[in-house]
Amino acid sequence: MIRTEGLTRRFGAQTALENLDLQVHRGEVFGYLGPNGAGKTTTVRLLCCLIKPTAGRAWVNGHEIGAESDAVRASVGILTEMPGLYDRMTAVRNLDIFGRLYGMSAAERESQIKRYLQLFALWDVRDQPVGGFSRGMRQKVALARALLHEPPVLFLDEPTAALDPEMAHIVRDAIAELKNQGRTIFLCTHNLDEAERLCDRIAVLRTHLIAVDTPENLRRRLFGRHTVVRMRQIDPELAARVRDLPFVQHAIVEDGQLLVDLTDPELQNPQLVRYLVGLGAEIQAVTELKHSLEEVYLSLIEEGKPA
Amino acid sequence: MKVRTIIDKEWEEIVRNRSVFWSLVLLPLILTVVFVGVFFFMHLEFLRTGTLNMNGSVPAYLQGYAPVDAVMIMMLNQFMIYFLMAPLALPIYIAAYSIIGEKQNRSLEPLLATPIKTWELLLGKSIAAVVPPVLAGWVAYALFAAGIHSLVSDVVWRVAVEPLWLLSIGILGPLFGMLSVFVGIIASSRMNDPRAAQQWTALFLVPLIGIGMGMMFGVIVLNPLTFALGILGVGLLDATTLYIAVRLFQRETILTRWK
Repeated sequence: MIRTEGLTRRFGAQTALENLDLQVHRGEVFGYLGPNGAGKTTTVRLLCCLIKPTAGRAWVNGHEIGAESDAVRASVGILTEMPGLYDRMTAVRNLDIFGRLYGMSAAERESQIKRYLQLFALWDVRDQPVGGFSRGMRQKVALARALLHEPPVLFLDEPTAALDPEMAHIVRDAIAELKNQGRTIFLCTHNLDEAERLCDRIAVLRTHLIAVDTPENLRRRLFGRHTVVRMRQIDPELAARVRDLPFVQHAIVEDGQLLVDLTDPELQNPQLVRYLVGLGAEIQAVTELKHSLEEVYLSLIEEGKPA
Repeated sequence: MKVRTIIDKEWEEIVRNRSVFWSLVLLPLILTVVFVGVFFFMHLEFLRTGTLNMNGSVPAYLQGYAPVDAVMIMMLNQFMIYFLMAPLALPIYIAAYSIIGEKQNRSLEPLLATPIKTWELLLGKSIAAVVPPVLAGWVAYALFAAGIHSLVSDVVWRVAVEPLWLLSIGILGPLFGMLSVFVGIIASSRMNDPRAAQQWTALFLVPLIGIGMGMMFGVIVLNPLTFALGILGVGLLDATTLYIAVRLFQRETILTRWK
């Protein structure tokens, strides 16, 4: 749905984005993470045909950026970092103008505006100027604007920033629903918990692409897989005995638990448990140690820092 | 269709932005009342004394008119210059607001992300900025002409509704208006503050006010030749400033260089 080949953008001597090769699949929620100034906004602007690449090519919904700019723009919805609404106009008028610019008929506009204003609990204030709305309400109007023409590709820049938890939940549900409808969602966010919950894959960027994969695969790649075995009583020498097993890469006792590195936990955990039970261990729980996405992100960013 | 959408949006914002709206409505209205008032008092003076006197000699182009008509025509010409030049001054407020306002609202990026073409956006904004001041100028002129009808002689009245003046106000006025908008767009593309853009636009337009001054002092007399030269000159200026404005008004420039 989105494909880039060597996409590069420089502003004078400064490189904002370097040699980006990316593929985002149809119906995927794709998290795009990186520190401020990493090139996230530049990427979105390039993919929405707002700016031109210095080098490289990209396709959105089968249309090449630059060569088919209008078709690309018609295929995408964008929620920018700032809502960018017309403050003196009502919520309905703000949406109606954009519906017209996207070529929607009056009937389509009416039904879509009603649908999204109701979804985001803004229907009762539809005829009030948005200048008087809270930041969260404005963000919701901007999100409704991005969704109004039912684009197959959505670029969302911090969609739940400034929203209260209940509204953030509604927005996340809406994103999940859009994904179920087959929409492709390109989600720029600093909210790693949100990325973890919503994204099928994430990319970590720092001017250049550092890594792209599912959160789980990134975890495994960076930190390996650790099985945690909790027992009623643990012998400190147990780790040394477990290390002797051929399929165990490493084992330690930490915080009264046995931490074991395995190459294929699904296959090897039962063997490990059998071995431990054979040694007389009273096992209370066997779990997998999960590193947070924040740890993954920080580790990748550190890895991507220029030498 | 998209141009129409932009025009509708701009006009709605103008109407809802009281400072811009009233600057557009009040200035022509007040000046029209003042101009009609001047003729009213000249008329009263004429009724009281039977004549009107001019300080100094009568300009050459007014030789042959009755003294009262000569005074009134001279005054009339000065006022007519306002109606001709008003579209030059009034769009400055709208043009500066319509573009810098978008920058300040951060609403340009979502707007530019729609399938609207740059020329459609520019055209919509230009028409939206030009039409209200031009209409305001025309309405003000119509009110002025109607207002002085019973206060002046037929000779003076014929000067007020002379076809050449009508053509000038009808054609040259909008050309002046477009020039103002295009200069406003150029100024806006380099500035953040609507007031700074308005001031720079006004500064660029000062030389054109010289035309008005020249007409006021009789150096430039409105005749078919000066009218044709005016259309040609202002038309060329419009084309040049439009070219520059379009070059500067590019999506990329707007998003990456407008600070």
